[in-house]
Amino acid sequence: MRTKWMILFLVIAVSACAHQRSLYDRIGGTPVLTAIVDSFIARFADDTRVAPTFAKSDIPKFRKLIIEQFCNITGGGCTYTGRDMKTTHQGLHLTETQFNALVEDLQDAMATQRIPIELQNELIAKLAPMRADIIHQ
Amino acid sequence: MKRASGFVLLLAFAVTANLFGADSRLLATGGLTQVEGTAGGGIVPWAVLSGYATEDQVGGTGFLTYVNTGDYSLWAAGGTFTLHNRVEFSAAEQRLHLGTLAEALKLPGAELRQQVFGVKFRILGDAVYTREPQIAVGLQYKRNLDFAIPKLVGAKDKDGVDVYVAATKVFLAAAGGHHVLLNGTLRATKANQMGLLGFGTANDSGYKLVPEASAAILLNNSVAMGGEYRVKPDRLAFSREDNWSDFFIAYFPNKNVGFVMAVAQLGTIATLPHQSGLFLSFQGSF
Repeated sequence: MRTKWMILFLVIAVSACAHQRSLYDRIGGTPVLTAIVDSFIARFADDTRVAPTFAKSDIPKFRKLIIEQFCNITGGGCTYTGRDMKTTHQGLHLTETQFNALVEDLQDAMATQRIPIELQNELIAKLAPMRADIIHQ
Repeated sequence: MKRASGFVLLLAFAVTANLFGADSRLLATGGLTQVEGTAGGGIVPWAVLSGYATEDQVGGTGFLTYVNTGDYSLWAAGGTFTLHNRVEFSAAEQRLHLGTLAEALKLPGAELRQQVFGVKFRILGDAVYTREPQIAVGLQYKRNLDFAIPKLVGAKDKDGVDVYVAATKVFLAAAGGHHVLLNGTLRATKANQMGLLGFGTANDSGYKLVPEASAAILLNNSVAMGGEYRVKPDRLAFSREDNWSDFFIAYFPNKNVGFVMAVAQLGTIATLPHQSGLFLSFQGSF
């Protein structure tokens, strides 16, 4: 019984060590994040559920900011120079349906860039808490 | 007959799927369809509502489930309708084929049939995105269609209502980068063997509170595996009734279909011990 607990402790300790490197490093840094963001933008530009929402957006600026933000939240040390999520999405009236569509587009983009599912999930987990500030604004 | 009507139902859902096109919740967040017809695991109702509809959509599912323990086989089929990810209506029919037992005891009939009509309200939360778990309350009105046998073995009523509250939470990237789903359900019930053996007994017809739980890990965006446990009342004197458990693997190739393969351990059912076997389920969502 005690051996069992020690093995469990070791497994937890080892997996904790494996996570000491930032998600930013494990995913491949700015080049890979940039590729993900470019695939993401290409996808939602073609996605009729969300494309109209971005009709008036400055896409190059959006691209720069979202790369900064992904770098920032994954521990890459970048400074995010954009406005907070609540202000950014003010007046867009994004629905749950549109939010979920964006998540799917991001998942597809990460799959296209051959990001391992575990790292995809970690990035989704870091973005998920922003939902409350993104929808219904 | 049951098989035929189940397939017709699924066909109808497959057709309507394209009409409604409510496909906006994330893959697998509609859960499976548990054996009483509501969104859940194989045997436990979850707080999630069936289908993939969001707050501004309607959706639903059709399902067909087959369980075979050697001595018994069970078919269950039904459908759900979910409005705006707020309320889910469900209807299902179960047919338990009594094979071995019917022959041994020369029972009046070889089948026990039951209909289940359910409604489930999402009270608060979103299983994936909010801090708090998604919480729902539900009712299942059950009507036994072959009450002669349940009456013979001591059941009091041929129908009854189960009431339950369920909490479901998806922990994103929680286990080595994989999403983990945990669910806890508390049910108040009078049912014997889910209602297939009627409700209550002559001297014990009050509600009993029974806990149920599920845990699952999403291996990728389309495959989940997990296990469930369902505590059951044990009231009929003629045979013990055991708690149920299952281990399942579910595959969602897309948002329109889901397949489940499970091993269910159902314990003693109507005097026959060690009932366990394969559990197969197909679900179509729209």
